[in-house]
Amino acid sequence: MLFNSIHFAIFFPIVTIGFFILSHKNRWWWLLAASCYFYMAFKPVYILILAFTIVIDYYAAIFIENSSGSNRKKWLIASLIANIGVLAIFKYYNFLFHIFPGNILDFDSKAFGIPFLEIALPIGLSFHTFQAMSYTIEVYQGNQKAERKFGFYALYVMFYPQLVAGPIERPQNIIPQFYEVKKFDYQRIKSGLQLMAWGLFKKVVIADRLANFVYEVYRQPDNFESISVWVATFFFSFQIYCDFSGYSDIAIGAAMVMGFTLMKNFHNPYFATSIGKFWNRWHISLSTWFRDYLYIPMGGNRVSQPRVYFNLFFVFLVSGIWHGANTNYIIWGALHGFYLIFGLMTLNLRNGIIKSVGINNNSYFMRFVNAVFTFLLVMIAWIAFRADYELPYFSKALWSKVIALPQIFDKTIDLAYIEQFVFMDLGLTEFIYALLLILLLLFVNYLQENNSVRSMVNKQSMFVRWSFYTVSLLVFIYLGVFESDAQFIYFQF
Amino acid sequence: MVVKIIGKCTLLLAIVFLIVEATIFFSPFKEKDLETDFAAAIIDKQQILNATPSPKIVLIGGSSVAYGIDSQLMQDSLGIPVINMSFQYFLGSDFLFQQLLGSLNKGDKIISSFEYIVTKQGDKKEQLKAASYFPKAYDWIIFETPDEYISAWLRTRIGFFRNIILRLYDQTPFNPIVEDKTNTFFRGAINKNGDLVSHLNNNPVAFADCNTKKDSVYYPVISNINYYTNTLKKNDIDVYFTFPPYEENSFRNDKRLVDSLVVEFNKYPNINLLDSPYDNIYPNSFFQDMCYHLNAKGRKERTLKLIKDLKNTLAANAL
Repeated sequence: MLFNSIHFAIFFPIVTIGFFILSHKNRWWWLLAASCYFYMAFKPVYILILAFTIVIDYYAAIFIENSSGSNRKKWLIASLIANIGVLAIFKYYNFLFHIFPGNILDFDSKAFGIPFLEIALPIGLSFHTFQAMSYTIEVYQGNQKAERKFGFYALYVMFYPQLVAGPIERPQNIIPQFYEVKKFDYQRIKSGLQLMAWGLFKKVVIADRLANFVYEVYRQPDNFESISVWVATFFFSFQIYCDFSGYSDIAIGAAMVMGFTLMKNFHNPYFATSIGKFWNRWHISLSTWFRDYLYIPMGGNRVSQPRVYFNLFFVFLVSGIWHGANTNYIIWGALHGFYLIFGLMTLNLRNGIIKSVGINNNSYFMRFVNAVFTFLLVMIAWIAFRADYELPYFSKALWSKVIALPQIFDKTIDLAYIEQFVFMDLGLTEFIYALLLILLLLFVNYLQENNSVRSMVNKQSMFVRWSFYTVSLLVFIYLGVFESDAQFIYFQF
Repeated sequence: MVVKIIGKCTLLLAIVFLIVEATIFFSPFKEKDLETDFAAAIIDKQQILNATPSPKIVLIGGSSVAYGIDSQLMQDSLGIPVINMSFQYFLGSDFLFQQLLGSLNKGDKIISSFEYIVTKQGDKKEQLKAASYFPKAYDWIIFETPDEYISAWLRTRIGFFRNIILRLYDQTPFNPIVEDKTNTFFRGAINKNGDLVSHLNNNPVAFADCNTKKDSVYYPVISNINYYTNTLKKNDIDVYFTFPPYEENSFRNDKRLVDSLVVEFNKYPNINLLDSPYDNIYPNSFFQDMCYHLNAKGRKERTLKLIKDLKNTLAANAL
């Protein structure tokens, strides 16, 4: 079920009202049933995959807790194998099938009886698998007690707001909340609904509108100029941000309405002044997952410098692969790993230059310059992320366009050129809307840096608030994209 | 508290709903829309269909059929009336068949041709829009779930609202005629047989290759054609299928898809295929503004080919 569908608009109030009508002891099964229904709205049979990992991890955690010595590790490994095995079969098998037999070894896999799996990727597989893994790891590390109530553990994995696209929660945060008695709190519900509305606005109005430009160029870069690729990538940077953070806002807001607190997943990432800081603000639940369960166990930064570089690069490579079994995600992850390593290697040199020139790196101007530069680096990496590698012809054409930007000075730039290659034939009005929406987003992000926008709205008089809500809703209706197939980008992961 | 929050949300939605509905109700563009909107051509096409005696040939499909067939030429060559009941791909194959059912008689022949992007169910929003001009069309729309209806209804109303607001600040006059060299889709763009003719004297427009990718959405279209072939056969009405015209570069992109569709078609031996996809690949110079839209030259070529194929098939069936 999509958050931006009528189906959800009916589902959400029914589930929420039902939740508050029921007594505390009955709420868990209501939420679990609702979550099962939510997931089965995509493809019912895939709930069996979830059921499989839930049963395995539930018992594995209990066995870990009841065991000692090497047996604990064995149960943890069994749990991890089950989870990674599911990922390997459904997400990575066909990728390996494509790469090794066909392209590298020139090996006829069919002749050896290795079948290509004609299966669709279960929605949100990487999200709930990682959430399940964090549970058994935390139990193994002794930070979390194994949950004895099977229904509560199942709900931890399946809690519908964050089931298919995160935030990837930790058991310490969510499971205790299932034991708490949630009361009907008007202010909290209002805040949750406001957050959901903002998330929906970001998805339906900003992301899906920008998607029109991006789609036009990326589906056939050969028909466009270099400037088009750069404009489309600029828009894509905001499209993916609004798409994913919009989803997270709706998820966090929906949970908040029922009294649950989910972790923050985005914090104005395009205001980051370095790539390292970007990753403290972008998809926080995943980057902290990799930090806690991969980077630190590998030694983190308490090892030799070359090993730190290796650890960083490896983690970002895995982060790319987490997104999908595709060359573009691997390149994207590798690029970010490279940025970080290069940043670390040149840190002393850059600090020395700044000191000798006498620039205050914390000044407003320098923070702005650093944020713009960081954004540019992130944007270049988005090219790799968005490229369509299904047809190699496209990706080659795309990259040749990317590097051809200086050739713009040799072109005759007239209105027809701008119309075709900057506005992508979508018109000046559409282009202006896109820019204005990005400005609006950045303005709201700017306010969010220091204040809660929701509390600012709530402080206004009733007339101002109601006028604001009404106008916002009309703008939402006027500018929103309401195509039935407008999925969230991160669902595919 | 529960009542308070539900009440406030309902009140806010009601205010916005009233503003939207009032804007649509008091729209100053209603008459103009009826006069110029291509969707309103459903009124004229239905009139042509009902006024034409049987036996007749009825063409259905998306815009490739609207753009790319000269019904008069077919009529002159075959000696029976030919009507073009095609619209645009987004109406879906089922709706396009449904619109004919009350107006067919024994001996009629339907020639269907659906672009590779057509779906069986179509876009309900567009179907509801057509029905707003021709209310009988509500009976041809099938909603599988209540939320599908609500979603389509809301999207239709939002579409009307948005169109009104857009035109309030963009007052560029819209008075399209067949003779002008720019406009294509408008109510008056069809001739007495139902063919779209407004593009014939328009300047060609450069376009990107098509790249369809998904073939599975077309499979239900094939089973839909099979369903109507079998159902209508019982009333002595024959259904034929001709593959849509496709621009050669686009075909190269979609060759794998098209080949898979041929395999799927072969699973339904009752479907009367007039040709193969390979017979309908044309060079870029035969197209007007996209990979399915033939220009005057392409239209003539395709019509002659279709006449020949139909004659051959009818002759073979007569043996």
